[in-house]
Amino acid sequence: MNKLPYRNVLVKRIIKSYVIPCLWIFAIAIPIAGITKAVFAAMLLFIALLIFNLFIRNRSPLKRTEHRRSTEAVSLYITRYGWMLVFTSSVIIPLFLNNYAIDVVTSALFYTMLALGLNLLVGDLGLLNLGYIAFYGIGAYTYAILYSKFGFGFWSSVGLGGLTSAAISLLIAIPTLKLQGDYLAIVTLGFGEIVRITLNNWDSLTNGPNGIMGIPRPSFPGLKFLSGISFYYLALLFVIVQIYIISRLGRSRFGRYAVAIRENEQASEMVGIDTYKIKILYFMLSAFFGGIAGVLFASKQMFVSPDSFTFIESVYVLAMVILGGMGNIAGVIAGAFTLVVLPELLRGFVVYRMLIFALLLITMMLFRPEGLFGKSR
Amino acid sequence: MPENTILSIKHVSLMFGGLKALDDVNIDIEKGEVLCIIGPNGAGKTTLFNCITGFLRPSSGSIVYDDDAELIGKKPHEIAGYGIYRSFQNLALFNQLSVLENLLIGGLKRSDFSYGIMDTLLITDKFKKIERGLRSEALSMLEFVGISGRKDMRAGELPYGERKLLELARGLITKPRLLLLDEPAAGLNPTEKTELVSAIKKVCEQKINVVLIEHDMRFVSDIADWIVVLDYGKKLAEGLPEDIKNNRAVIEAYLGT
Repeated sequence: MNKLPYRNVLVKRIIKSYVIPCLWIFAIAIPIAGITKAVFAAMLLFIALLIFNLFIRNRSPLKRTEHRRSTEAVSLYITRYGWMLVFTSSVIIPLFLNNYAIDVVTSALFYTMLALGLNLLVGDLGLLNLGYIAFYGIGAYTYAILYSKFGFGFWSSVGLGGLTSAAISLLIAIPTLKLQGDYLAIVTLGFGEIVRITLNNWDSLTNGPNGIMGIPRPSFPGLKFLSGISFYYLALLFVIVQIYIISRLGRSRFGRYAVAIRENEQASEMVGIDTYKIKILYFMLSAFFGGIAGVLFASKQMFVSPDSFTFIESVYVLAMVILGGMGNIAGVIAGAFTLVVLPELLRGFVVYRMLIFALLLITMMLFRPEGLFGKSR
Repeated sequence: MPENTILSIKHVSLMFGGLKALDDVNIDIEKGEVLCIIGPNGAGKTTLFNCITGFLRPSSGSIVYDDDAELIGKKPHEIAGYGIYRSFQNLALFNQLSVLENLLIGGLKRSDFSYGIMDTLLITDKFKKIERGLRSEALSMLEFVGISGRKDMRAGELPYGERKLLELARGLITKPRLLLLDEPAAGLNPTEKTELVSAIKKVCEQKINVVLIEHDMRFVSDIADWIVVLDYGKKLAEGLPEDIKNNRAVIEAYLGT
């Protein structure tokens, strides 16, 4: 007799977590890619969601312990093998791709680095940064200037690019991290624009809107990273190191500081956490990763100009973090790859890009505020 | 100043615009005693706690901790660093995190649970040992207050009484010397109250000084060694529980004239 209301709940849940996302991606894909590809996209999403919901997503802690233990074991298993699968395919698949496709996945790796860096702020700490691309630009320009004016090589510039970004982020972090929410978002937005405009106008240092050309690819004794695929592997190495560092931090007391501040700032102060200091450190760490990604980007393009660091790029990176699931490394990577690879697969997309962004984010926030692959909260 | 005061509040006043929220309050908290602060609503009890813990800054006066540290002007986390922990009337837990994680965060600032960034990245033995130690300490704290069975639940999903116990446990893992509890028994049913009283009594046995804000006189006379009565921001009376119960001014403040 009591089965009916239960069934209603179940139906609602299925509609909410499967039917709506699939219809949504179908509706977005149809004008761009035609019916066949749209159906295909919807099916792919369905399978991904099914796997995710059945095995990976955190279950409610209220469920019976034995049941949870068994699913936890399964999800650990799946997570571990999932990572191995992602890793091996990221190594093997590019061997079979053409140069154009390799360029796309390399750029997806750059955005992955950015999204992971931004996620430290947005996901872990709950602070919005709308000018994150500035640190990417600072890193890229640091390498360009260090090379063209002082003849520095790639490897010394990688560290310096990250450090310069972190140092400049300190300038903005100290006065603004006492602000909250919307105010912080607006100040960081302004900061992003200031950096871009400075790069555009400081002719003597940055060569203005013409940018700086002739930046060399990195070289390593015996290796020159000239081909697209060798550069891809270099970028992959950087991404793997970054994932390792971030995931280690997340499992240690350093990650706990951030989560505590996100969850309850007052309570964090009360247990003795210097919230202001931790925010500044996270801001710098996030800028550091952005700067390193910038150095890589500059050496890949062999050219930098202010056009690459516009406000919309910041939004783009933020969209990746939100789409994939805030605070979740795998989700953020998925978000970055989705937003870089999908538009390339569906070339006509570019015209609609802004429209799609808006649709994507609004529907996501309405139906899955935790992100496609986010933790259920 | 006597040797055995842990906190001495001298001539503390706080103005909110024209309103005197605290008016020349003097309280000495002696080591080893359980002090209760009582008073009608709006008497300035929580305001006083906020002043001690740095969430508010008094207009004048001084608050000296352990005979040498002036607390006024310090930030909340610095004051917490001295070993002062407070609970909030309306609870301040990390609701989305598990009960265990709440305690792990509580242990963050303990120097004996500290390790460097390289320990984290290289997963050294020190890292493993400390993390294991922290976990077992957290579990023993949960056992101490009697909610170890709930360790994997989200803090926000606990029943109200257990959330209070969790906040207490999270305080204990910071190894406080002074525990400020803001109406710990408010909103609890009689059973939960009994559990809380026994937990607080156990805390007192561990040489932790406890200051309570409370309304419930039965609860207060059960555990207080000394009572301070606040009314309209002023100290109205102080004394032993029996004396306070029969103090005419106190009765008037509570019942009206």
